[in-house]
Amino acid sequence: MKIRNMKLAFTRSTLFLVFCLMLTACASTGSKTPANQQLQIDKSLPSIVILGRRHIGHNETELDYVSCIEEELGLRFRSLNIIPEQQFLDSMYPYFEKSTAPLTIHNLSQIMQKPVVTKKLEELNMSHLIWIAGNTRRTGVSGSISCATTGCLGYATWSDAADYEAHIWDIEKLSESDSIETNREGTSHLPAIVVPIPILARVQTGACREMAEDITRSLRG
Amino acid sequence: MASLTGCANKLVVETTVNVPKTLAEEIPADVAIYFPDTTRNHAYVEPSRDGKDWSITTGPSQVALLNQVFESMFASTSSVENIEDVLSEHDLVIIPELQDMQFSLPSKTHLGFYEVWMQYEFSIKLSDGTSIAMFPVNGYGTAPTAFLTSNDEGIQQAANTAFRELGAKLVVRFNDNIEIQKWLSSRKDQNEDS
Repeated sequence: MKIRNMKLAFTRSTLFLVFCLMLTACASTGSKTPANQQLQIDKSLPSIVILGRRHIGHNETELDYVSCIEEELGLRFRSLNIIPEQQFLDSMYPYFEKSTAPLTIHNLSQIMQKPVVTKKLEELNMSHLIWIAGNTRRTGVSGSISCATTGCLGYATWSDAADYEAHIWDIEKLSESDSIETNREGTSHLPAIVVPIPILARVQTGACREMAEDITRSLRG
Repeated sequence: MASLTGCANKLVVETTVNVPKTLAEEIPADVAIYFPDTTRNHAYVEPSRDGKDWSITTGPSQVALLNQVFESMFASTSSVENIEDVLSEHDLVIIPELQDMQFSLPSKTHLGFYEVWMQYEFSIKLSDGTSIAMFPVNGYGTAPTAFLTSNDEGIQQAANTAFRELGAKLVVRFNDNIEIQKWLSSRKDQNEDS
């Protein structure tokens, strides 16, 4: 009897939790991060920013790839401000948006003819802009897994390819100081005998670390 | 259960604006902004064909966005209720007219994102009604679908991205417009002569 009551209580609390989650899904909320936050940097240090190229439409560079490079560079450089991409875009609005961002050094020099832009870049102590283009895409999927109440059985595999390039722009010299390319491929496997056991090829993470290493080498000269 | 059904069958949203402060060269001009009713009170309403009513109110967000952008562009701005309220002291009158706005849900397009697109025409005049320039600007925004993201939230995020792009293009196009450049330089010459 006690066990039955416990089961009922569990079922009721689970249903209640699911119901709450579904209500949350219907709740209306606005943008959570205010776009006018003041950017805090150490003004005694030079600053860099990693920017994803997103003007090409559906082949946009992923936000998580850019933040991965930011994190990796943050681990390698203590003497640099690495400005988060979104905060840089907000600070420089409207000059680095998808439709207005400079595509070439010549475009950057045109934008920098505006005193408000130059002043803001000086305030941020910017030394380099690093543009990242490219993305990770799925190149193949095969196999199948079927699951029942007793467990899962089958085998699935998929391949990913990551192709990225970085263009490092020197703000002071108004020139491209370096360009770097990273290409990686990998195949993930998911065998399932009762329980699926994923063996993942971390293609994007690998491409991120490789590129961060190359950018570090380039910035250190 | 009733609330869930309501959620699935209705889309009643008022868009919001969260766009950063604009970095713009301040133009030394006193500007009146006149929002036509079609812009100020804009709401997208889709007639129910399959029981899924849409009502997306965007007018207040559009007014808030454009006021914010124009305030950063000019030395002085004021919003006028009627075009007759424009005074001779105003150097320019700007009339932002929303021409078209479209929304799409992932459930309809089978794409993994919400979309909002808007098309504006900006009419720039002197206070006596003489036209200086007229140029179109559009804004397009998407928001990815995510676990527990409601249609309201998806549309709001996509609309904010579209507003952000609209504001950015407006600042850049305005400054690059040849007719406006001509007006600005003639005004500068007049000020120097006097």
